[in-house]
Amino acid sequence: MAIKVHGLPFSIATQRVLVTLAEKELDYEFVYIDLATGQQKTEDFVKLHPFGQVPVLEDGDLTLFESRAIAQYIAHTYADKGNPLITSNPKKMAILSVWTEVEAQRFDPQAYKLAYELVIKPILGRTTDEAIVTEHEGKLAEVLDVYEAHLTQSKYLGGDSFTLADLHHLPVINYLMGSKIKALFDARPHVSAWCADILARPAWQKIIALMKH
Amino acid sequence: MVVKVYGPAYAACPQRVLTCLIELGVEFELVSIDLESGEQKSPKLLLLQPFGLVPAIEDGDFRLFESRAIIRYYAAKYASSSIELLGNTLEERALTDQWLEVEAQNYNPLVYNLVLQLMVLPRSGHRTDMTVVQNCKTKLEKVLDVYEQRLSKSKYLAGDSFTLADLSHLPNTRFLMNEGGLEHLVKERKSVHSWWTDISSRPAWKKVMELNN
Repeated sequence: MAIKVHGLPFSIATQRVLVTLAEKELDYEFVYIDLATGQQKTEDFVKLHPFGQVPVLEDGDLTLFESRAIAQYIAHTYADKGNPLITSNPKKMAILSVWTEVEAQRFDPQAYKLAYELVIKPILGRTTDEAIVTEHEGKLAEVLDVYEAHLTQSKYLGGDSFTLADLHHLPVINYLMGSKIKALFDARPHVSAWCADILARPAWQKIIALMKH
Repeated sequence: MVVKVYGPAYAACPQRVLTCLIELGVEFELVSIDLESGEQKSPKLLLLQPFGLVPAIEDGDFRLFESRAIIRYYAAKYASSSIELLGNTLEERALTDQWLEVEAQNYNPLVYNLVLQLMVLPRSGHRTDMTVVQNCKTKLEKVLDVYEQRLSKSKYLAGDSFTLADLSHLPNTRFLMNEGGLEHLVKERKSVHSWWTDISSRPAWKKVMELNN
């Protein structure tokens, strides 16, 4: 099989790649990497990902890491398969790119930490650090205010259709909806509607089903 | 019509955009923003950049923010036989994206925190947290080890040619080599050092340094 993904179904970054493959209706082989035993730091794995993290994608001779770069690669290379996630119009693509940057630079730094403290740590049997939660909750609220204003004028972040700009948010938003942070999303009607819409997509539902196994 | 770039020439993210525009031979007008007086949070500028940050660009009616989205747009727009900042094939593009992500996810957050602790906070009368500084330095050593490994096998980060992936590192690495007082991190790593010498002697980067003086 041409495409292989190395990762963990619970990992946010792995999910970002898996949902992209699901949206594009692409088959792949999944190689489970056991983070609990430090498999990602073994010499063999570090050859694939020099920072010893997940996920990694192999497509024929090409090996890639960094989930957002992988998602971009899949979206461009397999543009004619499944659902479109990018656009060929340069200006529209640039605006899409603004919001993939916003996700990475503004949203994720706050949201990821909250998901880690409130959802992932309890799963690992560790204690939530409430000070970190308080600090990042306030900052996320400010970021979501900008999203609310933007989504008042734009159905999806990158424009009229669902694209990578929306997709990149799915794993973290999904985790946060299972925490008290859900209230921040619910309090903003356009953000709330956008979340409901993107979380209901069949491709994402497939990833949720994978997690349950 | 010239591209308007909003932001001071001394700040890292505007420098990323200016370097790219000069590499591509795109004419621009720099509109300097006074960060110290909070000009970036004025209503007029919030329309261009809703997070109140720099840079933003105006190209006729077309507006963009997030430096890495801006450079991707212009690199795609002005791709030619003489300069290909995004690589020549889909695979080279993917590798460029991968290392751009590495810069944004693994390199930038560490250097950003060092800038904050060593320069921004003292200037506004706050204390430097030396624990954070030491933490960042330790992590940066590990990240640069990965770069050393990569650059010992590849002339530039994405392959044989200079791309946005290398360009994106210029502003933050300049800080490390100067005000950051961390030039030893680069000089102790042979391949990283030759890479830095190469990319920082490019005419476009030198012009951006001149703009700064």
